[in-house]
Amino acid sequence: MKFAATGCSVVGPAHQQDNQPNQDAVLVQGIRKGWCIAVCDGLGSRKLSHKGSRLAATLIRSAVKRSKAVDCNAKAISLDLQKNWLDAVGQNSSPYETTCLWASVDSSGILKSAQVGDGMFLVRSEGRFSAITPERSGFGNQTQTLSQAKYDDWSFVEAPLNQVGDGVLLMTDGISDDLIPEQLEPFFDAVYMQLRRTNKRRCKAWLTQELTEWSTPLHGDDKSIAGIFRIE
Amino acid sequence: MSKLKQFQIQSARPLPIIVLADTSASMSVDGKIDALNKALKEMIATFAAESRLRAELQVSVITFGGIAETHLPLTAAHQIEGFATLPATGGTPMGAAFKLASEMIEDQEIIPSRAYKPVVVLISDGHPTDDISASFDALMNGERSSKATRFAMGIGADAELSLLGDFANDLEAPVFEAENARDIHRFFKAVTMSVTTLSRSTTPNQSTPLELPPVSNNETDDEYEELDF
Repeated sequence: MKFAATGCSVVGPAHQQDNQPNQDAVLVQGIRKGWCIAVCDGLGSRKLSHKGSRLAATLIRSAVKRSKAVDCNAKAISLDLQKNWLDAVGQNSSPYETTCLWASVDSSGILKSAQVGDGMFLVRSEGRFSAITPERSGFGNQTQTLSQAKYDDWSFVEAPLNQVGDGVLLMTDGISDDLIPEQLEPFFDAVYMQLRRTNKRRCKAWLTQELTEWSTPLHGDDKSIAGIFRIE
Repeated sequence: MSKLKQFQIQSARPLPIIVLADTSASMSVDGKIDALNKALKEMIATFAAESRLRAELQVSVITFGGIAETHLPLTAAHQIEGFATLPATGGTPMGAAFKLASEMIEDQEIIPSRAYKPVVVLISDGHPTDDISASFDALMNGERSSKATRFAMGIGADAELSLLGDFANDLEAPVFEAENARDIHRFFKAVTMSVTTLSRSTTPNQSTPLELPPVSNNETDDEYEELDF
């Protein structure tokens, strides 16, 4: 059983034009023979959201590490992350608002993953593909955030990745809103196949180029993606 | 060569602008309908010519004069050719117009979930002549329609300002009261500016204040009649 992970983030044309920082953050981290990944999308309207998204990505790594000691589930890890993020930003969390999608896979192939806010997470477990993210009821860029989310606003998954090709793929809405809904599984497979035949570094370079050359007309958002796949 | 391009949608995210225009018979006096027609055409032309966008501006015009109908289905501004002049006739079935707007916004086939939140603009010079309670409630509280930005303009002394006030939801843009044709022009200029500012921004869902241009005597404004309503 062998897993590989990849991820990258690129500044969107709108932020490049306005000379603004990337408000997304991405994490790809090996943890105790497993992997932890996250993509967090700081709200464009908030001044310090780039810091809020980076903080969330950093804290999810700590929360997953802590969970190894006490065998927490995805819900407990997410609530631990939320509490620590709120403690870190202080009482006025509004300037730091961010979404958060995270996933961890341990050495035995157990996936734990959760999402709050926009973006999408795709999972293949036991050979079966599914888009976990609930359908959006409103419009683009209207999102729940890490600081405001109630328990019911989270989506959770815990599942075994016990077949080659199983995996999890997280992305911010700069990507997911521009994907053809019927093409999600082929998209998942394309990233998996690239990672399988190259390596983490080359796959990151390939993804970076793909996101930089995004083809949807007038697209403007920052774009971040991260995935863990079973490759053997 | 890109391997992921084949999975990407090849159309821009829409930013819908839905105009609910009173075309009842009372709009035919004092040049009101002429001013409305001219202002709408200018707005569409400005949207069509705008090139610094982060969204595709789409316009729909729902009229209510005698009957309520979709005069212009939601269409990309740059694809609108020869906007047909609105006639003024009949009563003011505003409730039926609210129903059409509500159905349009709630329909994900017409406005997909990747669209930016719609802007709805209501213009009226009188009182509704049909029952508005159910359709007004549906538009205000619908799952998707409640999230739209709503602007309103009352034309002349007979406009039902309390209703228009309940309709508008932008705290920085209370109901605008037009006293003459030139004011209609100013209102639409402000709406145009607000929408184009939104569509160029990195956050097209954030509201931008509706800033009315000052009254001026430039050449364009001189095309509007001086008559007060």
